[in-house]
Amino acid sequence: MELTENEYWYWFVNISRVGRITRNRLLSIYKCPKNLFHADAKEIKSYKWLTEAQKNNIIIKDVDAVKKGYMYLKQKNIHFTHVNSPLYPDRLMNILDKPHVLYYKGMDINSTNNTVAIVGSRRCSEYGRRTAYNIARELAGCGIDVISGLAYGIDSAAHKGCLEGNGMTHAILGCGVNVCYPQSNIELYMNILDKGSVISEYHPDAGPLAGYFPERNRLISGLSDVLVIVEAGEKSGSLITVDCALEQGKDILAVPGRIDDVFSKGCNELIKMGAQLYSNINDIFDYLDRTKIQCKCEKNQNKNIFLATEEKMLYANLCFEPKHINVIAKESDMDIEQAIRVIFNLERKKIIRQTTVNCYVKV
Amino acid sequence: MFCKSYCAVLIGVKAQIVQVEADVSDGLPIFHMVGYLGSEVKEASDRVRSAIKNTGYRFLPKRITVNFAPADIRKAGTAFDLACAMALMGAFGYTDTVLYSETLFVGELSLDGRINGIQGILPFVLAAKNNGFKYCFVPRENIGEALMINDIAVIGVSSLKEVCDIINSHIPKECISYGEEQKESVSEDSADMFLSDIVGQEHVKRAAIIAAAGRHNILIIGSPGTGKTMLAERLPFIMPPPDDDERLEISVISSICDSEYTVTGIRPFRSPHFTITPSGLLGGGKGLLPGEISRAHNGILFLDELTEFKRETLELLRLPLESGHVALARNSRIINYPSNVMLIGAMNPCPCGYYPNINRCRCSQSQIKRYLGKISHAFLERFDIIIETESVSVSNLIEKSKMDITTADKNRHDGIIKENIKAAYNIQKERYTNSSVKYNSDLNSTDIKSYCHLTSDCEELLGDVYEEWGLSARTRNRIVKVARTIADYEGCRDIDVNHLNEAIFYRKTEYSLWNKKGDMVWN
Repeated sequence: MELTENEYWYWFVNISRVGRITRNRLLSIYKCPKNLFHADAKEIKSYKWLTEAQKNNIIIKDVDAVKKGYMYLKQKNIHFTHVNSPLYPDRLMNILDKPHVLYYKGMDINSTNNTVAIVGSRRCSEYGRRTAYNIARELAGCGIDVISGLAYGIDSAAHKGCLEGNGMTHAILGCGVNVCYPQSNIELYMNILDKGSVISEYHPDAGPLAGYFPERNRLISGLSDVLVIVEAGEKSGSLITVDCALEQGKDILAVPGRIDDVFSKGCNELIKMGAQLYSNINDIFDYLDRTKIQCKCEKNQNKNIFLATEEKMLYANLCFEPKHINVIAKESDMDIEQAIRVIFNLERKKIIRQTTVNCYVKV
Repeated sequence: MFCKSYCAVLIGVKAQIVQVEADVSDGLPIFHMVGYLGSEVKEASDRVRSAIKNTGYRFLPKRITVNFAPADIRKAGTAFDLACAMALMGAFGYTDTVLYSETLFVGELSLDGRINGIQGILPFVLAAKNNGFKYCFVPRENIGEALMINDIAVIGVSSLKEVCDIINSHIPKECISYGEEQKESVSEDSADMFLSDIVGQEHVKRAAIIAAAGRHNILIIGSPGTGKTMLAERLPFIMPPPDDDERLEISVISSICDSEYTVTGIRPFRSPHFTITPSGLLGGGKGLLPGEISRAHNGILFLDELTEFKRETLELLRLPLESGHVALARNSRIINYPSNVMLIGAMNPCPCGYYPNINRCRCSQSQIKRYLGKISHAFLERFDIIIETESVSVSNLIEKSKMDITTADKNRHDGIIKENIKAAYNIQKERYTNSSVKYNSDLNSTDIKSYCHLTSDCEELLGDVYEEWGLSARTRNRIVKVARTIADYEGCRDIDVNHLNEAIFYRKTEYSLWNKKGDMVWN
């Protein structure tokens, strides 16, 4: 029984105890997995740089198991691509330490589209979240793909914004594509499958290991043309993505924050070190292929919603920073019960939104 | 000689009449007691013998048998001493037994013939009244409690000698005391706790007032030091004093447990520590005494640090909270204690307590979820109002302290609230005159249909929310009940959309904390 090219690669990357570095060394000798597969056992045994376990795992060539494993991918609608495949994203070809294979679910990765990565910390402020959301939505409106990591906070906001703008969004996971991590983002995960893809270099059922996440960051920067950091603390994981982007020679924009804001420390530091300051969407366009930008950025049409006098009064006191209902009531000079009522009505009209319990912002 | 006297045995909150029969006959001197006796009752023989001797009568060396009937109920407690002694005195011929058949004797004897007070005197006097007894002898110590019952002659006594004298003179009128009509004896101004002590938190105060006005269960969530406990402790003081029936029920329970609420006009406030055991909370143990939930009957049961309670313990509360009574079944007997409480829960929103203030909270999403998950949905549904406190900033506190509110101001401010709540109580009382319901929180689903008419606007609003949040039918009813209370508090006859809005708001926290899909902190 003969294996296909894909199946050889599938076998190659799933040899137990053989990691990326060993695989690179093997590839440098055998050029492609097929040759390794058919290599003489004695020859493999002779390599001193392989451990006994590795040697044994390479020599055992269970064709049935490989076929079965590959079939499993097909059953789960998981696409599989390897470095020698035409489907492999062009952008990754030139990065250091590129993954040998990619598993992805959802749409194909289109290398011709402009792509922008939006990353930031999981703990973020309402400001950061809103900014990420809006950038992603506007980018989507211009036909630009948004790439992020499906984590809480900025990542989720970026994906959501892109989906809202009917754009294509890709989530690069630090676990297998069959695994939704964090679990509670399952709804978002499903939506991304419809309008984009989830991508991972790990086996589809691999769990989220701590070591995987810094590694996947090189893919986030690698797959994108421009990297936008929305909010990052001093030691945020997003800064790893920035390092990767620098190595790969990508352009980096950082969204500035207040100087005393812990969530923006990292971003401000980046700007100080020479990252571009993001202030509006055109800043990103400067770094993209302008011919492919479909400028249909129509302004949000003003929603003409009828508001009663008390609703107007209260709405005037709201802003984009979350305010507690007690403060709102005080500022609007209302009784708490009246304020509760008005807020409730405004929320039902969807022009204000609760951020955390009892705190509200304008939409 | 044979003689019979009456006493009673405590079964739950009720006392059952027990006949004490004494037979004195010739034979070898022996003092024998029968009738399914607990060890305290068996010991009575020695006390009775010494007490009679030390009162100055001769304890005849005869064959003495004392029987407690009905013999199939276990007799426990020390209340039988006096009845036993009196039966013997009658059998010895020292006392006139004419009035024995209409007299109930309750009391514990000491060896010198003095009569000591006992616990749970109220149920005894109540039983005497309900079973048609004319007179009831009680220890003098307990007379205050006994006088809560009207229409029965209560005689407070302090020694066996006194009892014999009174009985032999056919109970002269001057010995008898009667219970008086209870007055509103509450010293309302004595409270030094005011709702206005709490800085800010206007929305929580409002929620608490509404909760108090309809006796709704309320859950307060908030960071440490935002006044959750403070608020709960102040609620009994803004609630109107219990009415006569309620006061009697409260007194009966506290009479059994000997706790401090006997004959006071303030509603009980119980706040058990979170290490409490199931039997401590629901009742049980030796003697099947009432637990904290029954001790808080007609008052407030405050569970501080709700998440620290053992889950099994909390879940046990579900049934009593719904039904208003606890049925304890042990050793082939079932005892019912009332447990009609207003439950106040207080808890932190996350393990560190500072969520959703993300600048201070260092808990991870899953930690918060796990923490909140300690409270099951079924238990959460028992709360009508769920409200989250605002974290108080230091500047706010300072500002407030500068305003310098005097006690008189606070008193006036709280006075208005008290008046309003009282008015709401009266509206409810009037509305529910002909039904078993007392407060809005007691309404069941059929009652809701008849008492809480909703306009089509309200129905529409509720329908929208119902779909959006995926409400359970029980939660829906709870919202309507709270809306009913808000309308009552505002003095409106019908529930309108505004009332419903506010009621829904009090339910919202559940959906923003527990039912959240995806990102806990954001969106």
